[in-house]
Amino acid sequence: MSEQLESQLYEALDREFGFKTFRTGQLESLASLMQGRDTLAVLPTGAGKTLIYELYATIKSGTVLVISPLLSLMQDQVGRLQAAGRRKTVALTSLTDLAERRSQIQRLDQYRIVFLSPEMLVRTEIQERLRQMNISLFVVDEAHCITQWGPDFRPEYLLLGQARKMLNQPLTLMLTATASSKTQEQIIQRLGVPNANRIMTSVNRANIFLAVETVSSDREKGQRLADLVRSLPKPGVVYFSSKRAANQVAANLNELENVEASPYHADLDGEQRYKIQQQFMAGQLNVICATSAFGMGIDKADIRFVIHYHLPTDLENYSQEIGRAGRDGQPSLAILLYQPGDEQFAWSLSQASIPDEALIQRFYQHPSQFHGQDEQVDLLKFYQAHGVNELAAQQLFSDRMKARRTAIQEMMTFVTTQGCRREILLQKFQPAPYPTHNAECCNGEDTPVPTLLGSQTEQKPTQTVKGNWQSRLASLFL
Amino acid sequence: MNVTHSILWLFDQHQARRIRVIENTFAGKKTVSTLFWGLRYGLLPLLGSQKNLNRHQLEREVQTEIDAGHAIRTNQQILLTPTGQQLKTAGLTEAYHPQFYSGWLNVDLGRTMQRLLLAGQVVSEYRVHQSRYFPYETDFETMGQVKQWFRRNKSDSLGQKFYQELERVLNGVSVQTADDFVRQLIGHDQPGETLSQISQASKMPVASILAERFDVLTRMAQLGSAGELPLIQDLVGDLVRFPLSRGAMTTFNQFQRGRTLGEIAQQYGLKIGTVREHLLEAAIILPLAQFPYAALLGSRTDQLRQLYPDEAQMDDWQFQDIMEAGLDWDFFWFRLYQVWRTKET
Repeated sequence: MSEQLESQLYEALDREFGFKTFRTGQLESLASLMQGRDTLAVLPTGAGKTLIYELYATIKSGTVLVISPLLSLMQDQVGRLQAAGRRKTVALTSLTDLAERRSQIQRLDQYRIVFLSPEMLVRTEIQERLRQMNISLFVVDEAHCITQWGPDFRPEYLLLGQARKMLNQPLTLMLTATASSKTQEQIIQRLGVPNANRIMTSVNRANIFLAVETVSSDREKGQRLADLVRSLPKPGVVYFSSKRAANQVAANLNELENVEASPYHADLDGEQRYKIQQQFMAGQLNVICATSAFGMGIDKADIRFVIHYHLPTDLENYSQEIGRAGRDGQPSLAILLYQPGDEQFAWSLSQASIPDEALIQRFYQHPSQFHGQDEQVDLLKFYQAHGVNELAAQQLFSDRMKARRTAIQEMMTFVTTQGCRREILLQKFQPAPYPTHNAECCNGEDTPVPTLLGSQTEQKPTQTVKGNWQSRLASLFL
Repeated sequence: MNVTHSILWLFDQHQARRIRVIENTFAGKKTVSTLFWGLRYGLLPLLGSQKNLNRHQLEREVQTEIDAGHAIRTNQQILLTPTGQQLKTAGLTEAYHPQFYSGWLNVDLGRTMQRLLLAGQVVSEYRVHQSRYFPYETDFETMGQVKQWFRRNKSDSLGQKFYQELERVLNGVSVQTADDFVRQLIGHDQPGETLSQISQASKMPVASILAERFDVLTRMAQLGSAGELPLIQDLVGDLVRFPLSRGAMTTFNQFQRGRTLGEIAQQYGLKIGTVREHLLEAAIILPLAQFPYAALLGSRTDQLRQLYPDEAQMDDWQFQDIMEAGLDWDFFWFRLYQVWRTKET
């Protein structure tokens, strides 16, 4: 990187964000883009991936297009950018109503950053509009979703390569926190950027202690969770695979002293979700009982623990979720509570979205008989519409099942190992060498879970405004 | 609303109810079928109050109640079990009883609240000269409306005026309702409380907290229309609605002027069936006294009364009985009679 380029980037960083230093990987990624190279950046959660394209948007003219898989994530980011004074930002999603969307599309070239869901990107009218514009950068956020099959999966991600071609192959930035080398290959191949420059930083988060605890019953699990939440420094996040469990456990935890917990999942409407997020950010809540819907957009630096109440379906998700903890660099804890048999639940979730052999057969024989909204049927319709025949579909979904099973087995290896858990986690994402196991690493190799965490200053939930409604109203507006 | 905490109140032990109708009522689908069954279930004022209700969620919650033995499903319809009914009744005694229930229909409650939440936050932050904050995330239309409203009304006394108008509204409801409502508002350093948090604090079901909200908004709309809340009227005045669709209103007005259904159909290029649907919509939505049931049904009334003597069983009346009695009537007459009888009882 030339000195001139480097100082130009530092200058922009200071001017636009008021920061003096880049975090790992940011400068390298920006330099690579400034040199006109397609770039795949594998940066850990919390590394500030969004800053890369935000800064780029301020340096180069034209529009930065960000393809993002999660609608709520886009809303978060637009909200955050606007809060930071960057008003020329918009999210174009299926949640937007038609009239509003039309007017957004018309004014699209006036925005510096446009967030798009993959479903929107593949629409003809949007592609036509985008072709008239100067796209300075094509960003694929959460690029691992191209290969992953889970709640975030969008079949439209498979069409991103084609869409990029339609837009005359703009400069491309692929961002992900968790990509095994196999996933990296697939991302690059699917997007058609064989010469992409890879910026890799370790996914290792040394300040997070990794622990797995085995319990023998539901009851014991609930009890253990309550003990942990009571004694650990807060704030913290507990992840669940079921909304119902998140609701129930949050209610139970609320009974504990100094614990203010709330569930957070997709069943809550925008108003409730906004309030819960903001209460958590403000310290009025100190425990969130979440499903995977929570976190992608949350940037709270002082989260002290992440507990998994259910077994994640793969190491990618696990790694993403524990990555919410300890962004301030302080010692933090990730604890997975495992009850023998939990892998069955993970497996049933994992395969829920994958159509089985019989359904595929019936669908291809009588496609017109399938109406209504069904996740599996929608998928089949998508594949059929894109020229995938029955045989190929059978093969594709059976491969997918196998891959999901392997992913759970890898998760189980992490859970059951007597050795170093960190090494098993890192093996998935990066080549050796791995850090040597020590007392701050994980509870493999008979290492005890550290208790020093309690010595930190504890954050107690702050109180909301008290008094009668008149005084509350006055505190808002007078 | 988060229906997670109580959906039993939407169902009944003696009247089998379709989930689809309830969902469509919340979503504000104005088909005659949804309107009619919404009326039968006593849920019509909820029309359009939760446009983004997640269908699968409602379905899941119903299943939870079925699994718990509080409800059963027969032919796609839901009935409460005696235990379910007991729980519902117990819940209702603690519940809030709306004061302006029938008025809910006249206000776009969802959009009114969205504007109020965002406008409140903007005013509150402006008061402390804060321009960098996480704006309440809502739809584009609301953001645009609030932005323009703020530009029109920006002044040093904005907070003071906003406070006074809200105080004026809240003075007309109970202390509890006012308290529960104010907790929901968003402002500087105050993210606002969620419905379920308020529900826990006030020991009332979530549906009650929502009902309180709707009452406050309805009262606000009434005072606004009466010219007593200039600032708030400027913010949400356009969200007061006449619940009849434009088509139904036109048809009904013409009908009131003595035109026959055939003439109306011809004048507006409508099918006679559409004209009839318009009239049914008007009958369902307008107060009893405003619709000329007796005049319209004429001598059919007596025949209908004989064919369907038991009004307690109205949900089970069959249109077929009319045909079997040798009468060549359109379904319209049958349904109109049902609407009338429902409204009279």
